[in-house]
Amino acid sequence: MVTSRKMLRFYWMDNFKPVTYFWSILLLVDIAQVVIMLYFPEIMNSTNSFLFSANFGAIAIYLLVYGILIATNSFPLMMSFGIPRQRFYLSVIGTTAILCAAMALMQNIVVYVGYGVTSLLGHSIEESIPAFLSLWYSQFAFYLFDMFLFILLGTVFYRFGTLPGLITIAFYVLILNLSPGNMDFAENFELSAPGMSNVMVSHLFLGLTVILIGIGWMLYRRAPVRTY
Amino acid sequence: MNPILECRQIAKNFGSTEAIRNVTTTFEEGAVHGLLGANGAGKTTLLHILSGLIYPSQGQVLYDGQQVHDNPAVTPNICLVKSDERSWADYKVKDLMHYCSLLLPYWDEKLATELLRKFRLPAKKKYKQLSRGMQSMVGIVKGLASGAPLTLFDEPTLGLDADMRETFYELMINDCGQRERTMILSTHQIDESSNLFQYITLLEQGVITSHMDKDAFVAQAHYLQGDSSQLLALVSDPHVLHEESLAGTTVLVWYGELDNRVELERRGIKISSVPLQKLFVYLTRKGNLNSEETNNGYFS
Repeated sequence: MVTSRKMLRFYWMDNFKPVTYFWSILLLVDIAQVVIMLYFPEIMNSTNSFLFSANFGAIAIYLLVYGILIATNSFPLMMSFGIPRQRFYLSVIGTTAILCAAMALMQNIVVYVGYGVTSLLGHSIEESIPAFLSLWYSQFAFYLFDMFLFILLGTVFYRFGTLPGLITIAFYVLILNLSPGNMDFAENFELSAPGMSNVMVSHLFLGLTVILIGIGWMLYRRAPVRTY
Repeated sequence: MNPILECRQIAKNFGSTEAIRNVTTTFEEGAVHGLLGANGAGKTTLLHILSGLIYPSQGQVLYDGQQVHDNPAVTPNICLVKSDERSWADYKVKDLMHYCSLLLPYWDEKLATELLRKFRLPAKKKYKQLSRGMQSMVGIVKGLASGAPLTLFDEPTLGLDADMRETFYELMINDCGQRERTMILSTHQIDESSNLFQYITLLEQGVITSHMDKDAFVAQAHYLQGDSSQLLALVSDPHVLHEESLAGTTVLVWYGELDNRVELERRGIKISSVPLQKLFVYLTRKGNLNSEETNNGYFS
């Protein structure tokens, strides 16, 4: 019987290269931004904490793409190795949680180290850096929600085809437009993380993720692997 | 032989299309089974159901008495080699082999390495960059080295040249000789692979019309060759699958018991056996004809 450890190792092997490339590019962009800000202030002069905010969006996009790939590629791949659906789905939950936690942690490190370095180099930032745990938690909850939203979307595309997939996208857009709060916090966790309201929103995201996981299992329970 | 796999009244519908209809059969342990059927007969769907990759719309599949679908105690024992593994497209051959070694419990690393060398497969190339034949070879490596007690091959020789097909058949015979494995092979290369089969399962329009020992299956069919004046009288018999006449000589393909064999031979009729591939063709044609007649009858 294939152990969970072996499956996690599979995901590690599957993810190691893309994650390494992704963070290498992201770090290069971040370093370039800091250098430009410090030595070419006429091009970019920032005194607020938006310095690494582009990373949040980039991470969210990376995770949503990976979420779609899990549904459309990892599922038939794992099935081709005789992995039962339940085991596959549990491994997906475990892997996404670990990946989102690691991404949030990595971004936390970038923010903290980045701010430390820029301060050392004499650049003052007006905003205070949010608490480490709060910043990590708000990101983690959002990334997990983001990923499962798109695992679900990928599953709909894989199981039911293009039209139901497009209808799901339309549904997501509709929900996004109808949601009462704005989503600005997702563009900059550094600003919004300290607020208590954001912690509540993060709890809400985790709750919604649990619902998405439940819906996902309903779709995967008897999901067929395409015969073509 | 004991059955290792049992299908109980399985059916599979895709929308309004009935791909598999009320299939009840068993597959004997430690044997090589040939799953034969025309294009669209439902072979791929049946293999996917047997391996647990798709659920049947009704009925159940049992492996050694246990439910196949999503049973962690059973699925590792079954390995399906698909004719086209799209989910492998973006992976390098060496990565795929690594995943196999990680996730397939009976994986034989030594055999896999040997087969990769024998097939001259480039380990660093992505699956989608390989030729059709090479993609089939990767599937064959997976199937043979998986060591799974039940291995299902769906068109494993697609795109392979004659030399490589022979190599595959030799490897299969060697492997089955070395360890007790059950293999179900769907193929259109019937003549070439007929020596491998111990059992034949014939699938026609989603229904299993025959499942029996290969020799018994082939022994049911006979060529009757002789003077047209004597044989044409038999053409309307339902046992006749096919008829050909040329210059006063007629050849009939007879399917079923030949009670009057001695009498026919006394009248100068030559009786010979029908090769498996030919028999398959005649049976399929007859099946199609019957279904057309049924359809015509229905619409008329």
